[in-house]
Amino acid sequence: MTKNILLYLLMGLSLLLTSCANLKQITDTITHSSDSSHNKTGLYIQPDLDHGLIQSPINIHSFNEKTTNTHDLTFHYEDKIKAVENLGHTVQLDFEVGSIISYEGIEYDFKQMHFHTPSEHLIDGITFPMEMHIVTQNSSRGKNDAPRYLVIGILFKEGKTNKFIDEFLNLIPQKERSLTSLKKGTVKLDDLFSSDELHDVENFYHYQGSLTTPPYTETVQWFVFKPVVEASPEQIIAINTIEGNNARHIQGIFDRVVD
Amino acid sequence: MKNTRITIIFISLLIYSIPCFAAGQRDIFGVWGSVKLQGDFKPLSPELRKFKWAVMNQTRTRDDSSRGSRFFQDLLFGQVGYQLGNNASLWLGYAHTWTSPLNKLSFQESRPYQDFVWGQKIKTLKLMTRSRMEQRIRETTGDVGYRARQLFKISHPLPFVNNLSIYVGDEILFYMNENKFGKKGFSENRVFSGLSYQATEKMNIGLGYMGQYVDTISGKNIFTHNIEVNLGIKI
Repeated sequence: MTKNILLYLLMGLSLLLTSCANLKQITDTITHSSDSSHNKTGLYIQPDLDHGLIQSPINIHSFNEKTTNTHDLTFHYEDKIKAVENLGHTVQLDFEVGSIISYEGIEYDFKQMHFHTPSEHLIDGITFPMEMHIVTQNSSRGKNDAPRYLVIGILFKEGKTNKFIDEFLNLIPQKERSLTSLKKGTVKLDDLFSSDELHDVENFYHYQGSLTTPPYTETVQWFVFKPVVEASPEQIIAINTIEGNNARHIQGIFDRVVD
Repeated sequence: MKNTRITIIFISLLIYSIPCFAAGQRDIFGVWGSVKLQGDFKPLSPELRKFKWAVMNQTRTRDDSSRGSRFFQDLLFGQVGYQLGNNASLWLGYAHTWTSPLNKLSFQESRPYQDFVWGQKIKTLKLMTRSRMEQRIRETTGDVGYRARQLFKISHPLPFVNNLSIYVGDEILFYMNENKFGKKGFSENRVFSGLSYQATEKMNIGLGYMGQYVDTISGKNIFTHNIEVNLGIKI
């Protein structure tokens, strides 16, 4: 009897020790995965590309979002879009010089906006059929300073015809790497921003990330608007036919916070 | 004594006009500063003495940003009017506006407007009403909002300081159509009160409070509490 009890005790102790060892191993793994130097060396890095721990796009967990309400964007916007380009890998619209967005004391110039089909950012694991990126770059910087970007991401779902997309869809050149010049007022971003979905935009997901195409520069303030805009299936298919599936895979969030 | 009683009533109205901060709305503080030049066309010809003009610029700020107060809007007005008898006048005007809402694209507006102004003096009280129809035209998209506005204002001189008067008033604004600027139907109420000082025959200075309740399309209604500073010059 006593022998049996001793045997059970020994087995129990052995199981307990094994569990503790496993737990330590899991903890070590977690510690290592949040250790940047380990990850930097552990990740596959393409030569000459900025590819660290703050890459984009990401899967945004809406329930993990920290609501700080401290991100204020001020636009000094002139609706001047000068060209629409077929770059093969994307459809791009180019801004005239003069429009600025201010964030945390830094001014960013509107450069271009382009499309990804399907969306690059995921919301709670959900992919959307299309995403538009409005790319801005800091206006004044020193000679040796790295460029800083602020990118606004707007997600699209299938629905009614989008007036803004309609304004340029038939003007996209069929030939790759060519552009169509636009007269002032032909394409109006304001038609998108004054749409029902974006009329009262106050909420967006913000995080720090990277460009989603080479060189994947990690100096991007990302603002992904929470409201999802509608575009007709035909409009989304038309853009997808030109650019193909050009969404980068989602990247690890690591220690970043979406707020 | 009678003047003092009226003054007390006015001060009560003034306090009453300052609204409470209610739950379910966003309170924003700001400053509305304006400069107004006005005159008539009499210098051109005595026959044109009934034709009047006014030019005004108003700049508005809001503290809706985490960085504090910031420029929100500028409105440049120009209007011509015709005096109908002693109490009434008709005006045609145009305002160009530059608006910079937070987290939204900034935009410009053209606002033609038509006013009917009626004023009446009853002993020491001055009553004024203004009925305005305006067309808000968003420059880039061409969206038009047809808005009707009705303003009432009462002013009364203060007995203890020369050339100083107290005023209180209200303006209610309605959209007549579905549009991108605001809801069809009631959109805004503005309650205002303050002091007006006739510094010289040609210069008037006003300092007051303007409470602006805005019923927005999204339902996230706002109440802006503004210090109003006005400078009026007659030419």
